[in-house]
Amino acid sequence: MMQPNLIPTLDPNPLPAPYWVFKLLLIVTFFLHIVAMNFMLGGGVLALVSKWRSKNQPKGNRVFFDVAKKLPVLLPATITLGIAPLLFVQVLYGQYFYTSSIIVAWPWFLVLVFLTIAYYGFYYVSFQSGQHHGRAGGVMLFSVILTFLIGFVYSNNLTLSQTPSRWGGKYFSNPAGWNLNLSEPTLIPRFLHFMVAAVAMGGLLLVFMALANWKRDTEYARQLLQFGGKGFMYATRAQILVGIWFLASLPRDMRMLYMGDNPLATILLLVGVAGGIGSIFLMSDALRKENIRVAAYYVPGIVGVVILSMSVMRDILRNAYLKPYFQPD
Amino acid sequence: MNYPFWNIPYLGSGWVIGIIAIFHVMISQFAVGGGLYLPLAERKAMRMADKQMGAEWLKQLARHSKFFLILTAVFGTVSGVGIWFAIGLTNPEATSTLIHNFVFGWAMEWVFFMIELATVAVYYYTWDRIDPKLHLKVGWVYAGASIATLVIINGILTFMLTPGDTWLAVAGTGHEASKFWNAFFNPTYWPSLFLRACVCASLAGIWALITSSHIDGDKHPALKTSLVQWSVKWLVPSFVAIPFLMIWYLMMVPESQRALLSLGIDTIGAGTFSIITRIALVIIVTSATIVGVAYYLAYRNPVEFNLSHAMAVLLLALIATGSGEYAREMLRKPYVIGRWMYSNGVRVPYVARINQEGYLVHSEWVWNSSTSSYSRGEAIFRGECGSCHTLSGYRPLKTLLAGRDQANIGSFITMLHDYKPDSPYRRFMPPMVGTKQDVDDLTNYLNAQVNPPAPAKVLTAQK
Ligand code: HEC
Ligand code: HEM
Repeated sequence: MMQPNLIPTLDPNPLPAPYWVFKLLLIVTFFLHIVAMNFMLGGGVLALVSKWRSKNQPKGNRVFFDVAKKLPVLLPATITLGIAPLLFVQVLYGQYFYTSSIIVAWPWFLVLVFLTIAYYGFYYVSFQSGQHHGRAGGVMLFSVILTFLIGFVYSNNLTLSQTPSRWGGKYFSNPAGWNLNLSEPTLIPRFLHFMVAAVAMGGLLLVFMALANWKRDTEYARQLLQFGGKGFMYATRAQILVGIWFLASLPRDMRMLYMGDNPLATILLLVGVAGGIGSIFLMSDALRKENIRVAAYYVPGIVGVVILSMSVMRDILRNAYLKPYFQPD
Repeated sequence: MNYPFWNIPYLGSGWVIGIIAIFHVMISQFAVGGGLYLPLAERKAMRMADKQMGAEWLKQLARHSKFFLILTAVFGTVSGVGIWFAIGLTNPEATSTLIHNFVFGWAMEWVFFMIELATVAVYYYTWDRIDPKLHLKVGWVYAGASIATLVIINGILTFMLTPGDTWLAVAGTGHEASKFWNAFFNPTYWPSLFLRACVCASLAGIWALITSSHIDGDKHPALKTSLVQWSVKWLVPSFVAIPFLMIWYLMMVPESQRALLSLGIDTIGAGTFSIITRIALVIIVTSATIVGVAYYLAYRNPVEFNLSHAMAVLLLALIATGSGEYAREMLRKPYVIGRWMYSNGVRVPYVARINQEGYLVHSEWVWNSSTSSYSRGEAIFRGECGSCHTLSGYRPLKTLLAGRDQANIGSFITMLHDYKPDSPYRRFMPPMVGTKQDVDDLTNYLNAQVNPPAPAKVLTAQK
């Protein structure tokens, strides 16, 4: 049931530059945002895992606190790098983005509350020292959960923004904005796809920390490398399943875009899958040989290409969803 | 009606922006003022003849900068994102216009903001770790970047009040971008910039009083005295210059938009004007109190100056800032973008067309696309009145219309629709736009709210 009249008309003030300029800026800044988000969220998750696996032994605690010290910088980096795509998404897709935001207004608004609390939580943990850290683990867990919820709200809003056929029903069932987009079949796999990627990238953050400590404190650096590298490998293996689930959840004609209908999308998917699998093998080899160069340069290089191609694929998907309503240019 | 309306019962969406905006202004303007305060204080400390005192100052500044980092980096960034969210939720039409005009302004602002965040973190984490001269330089870069953000955002904020005739002449033609700089350096740009700069300096002083109040006056009387007194001086520019800057600012607002202010003098019973006059009084009284408290409690008795004194000053400043921003909002009514777009998102030149075609033709955010008069009236109410009124709560229409019957409500709406040049409502309300049918639908809806029919009737009305 389509209600074409629900689509807001385009703003009569034209854009001050060609469409592709903003498109490029959107994809590049979104890529940066998502990388920072991944380091933060994945780093937080792995820090917690390390703390609990080591049952509070100093070794695990050291990883925990070392990562914790980075979070008060990574979170504002995520936010600030998020502001730029927030600007460009409004420039390009304002009609869709504003509308879906209004429909999920309260959860959207809660993002601000969650952000503030998570932020203070991260600061709190980072100012604790190894000795008296009483609640540090609990506070960290709480903050990490809040950042998960933030990502979840984003996925809700963005999936809703590209399915205008759902707008009317949701808005009128609650005009005050207490809605989510839970009935969207791609929501959960899509969200998990982001979160699992975050854990993998958190592993790479630890590998970078290993690199920084390689000369100074080799034993600790080895520990970081092994732990981070394994985190990366497990998460990326899981990602293969999540990715298949995500692809399967897409409506048929969207799925076919990645299976030949759209050559660019198909190539990007192949690059992504090949890069993902390749990086698992490379990392496993690097861990066996304790080769920090491979782990800290080659693997992240490949993963960077994978994330970039995924960002472009995501954009192609959005355009496909919006095609019935909106063909820019 | 392009967008759905975020319907916040009782409070109304305007307050959501308002509350976030006040916090954001308090903190971001502190970030600008404090950005200047820190390197200036650091330089002063480095040059002190009394080396001992200089070192104590630096220690205190390092503490202040931690507070500064957390407050501005956490609350500053989050409340900034908050403003983005809030304006998009409550006034998407205006937000879209601003973004289409100023996307590159904002992109530049974002770059400076990145520099600001990076340098403030470096500044805080490198006390005593790098050469003091270099550290001071980092402070200056921070100050420069944060001033740049003010210089940019001020253009966009003042544009909303006074887009200026040059931009208005091309608005809607597709050539708006050619008048970017006119829109940016619009009539109120300069007075507003200086006004905000003064406020930034005051806030820097006030927040510094908060951290200085923590110093133990018995143990370090000389340190506390010198810091408190120096911080109080940051309030001076405001109290000398602001009255003059205010007059300059108001002079730059076009006569037609200033009407709401003179309302305070020629008085109508509606109570609007008295809000403005009351706000003016609040600003004057709180500002005078700040001067008094700062002078007697801080400047004259710095050693005894404690946290609750400092909090009192901060609270007063919050009230003054809040009132100032509220007054600016009121001054802008009935527009969200002066003389171009009304607060409810209707563009001024579109009024005639909507009156002909109807308000709901282009986009039907009407309950289940229902065609009942009640549902259409509800949609019109949300779209046209909801940005300023609730049904019951803030500026409640149930109360404002109480005692009127259907015909009487109808004639009020018709009057708002006709929008005669001598209508007193022009000063703060946009016209009611739409066809005769739209007027009737809105009347029916409002009448059903103000004079609720017996329950059975509501059901038929909703069918
Ligand atoms: C730009 C904001 C704005 C919009 C939009 C707006 N109003 Fe108002 N309205 C005001 C203000 C401000 C007042 C004065 C409130 C007061 O006295 O407390 C007011 C007062 C009123 C009053 C009381 C008038 C009186 O003389 O007592 C009524 C009735 C009213 N509005 C109806 C409406 C209706 C109906 C709409 C939608 C078609 C509407 N308003 C749209 C700002 C607005
Ligand atoms: C800290 C918590 C945050 C997390 C975990 C997070 C996570 C995410 C995720 C998972 C997505 C992709 C959603 C999807 O496509 O389904 C996303 C997109 C996005 N995020 Fe964030 N985000 C965070 C904070 C922010 C903030 C504070 C901003 C804005 C200032 C922001 C701006 C954006 C934008 C604009 C997009 C969409 C870009 C596009 O559609 O092209 N994010 N974020």
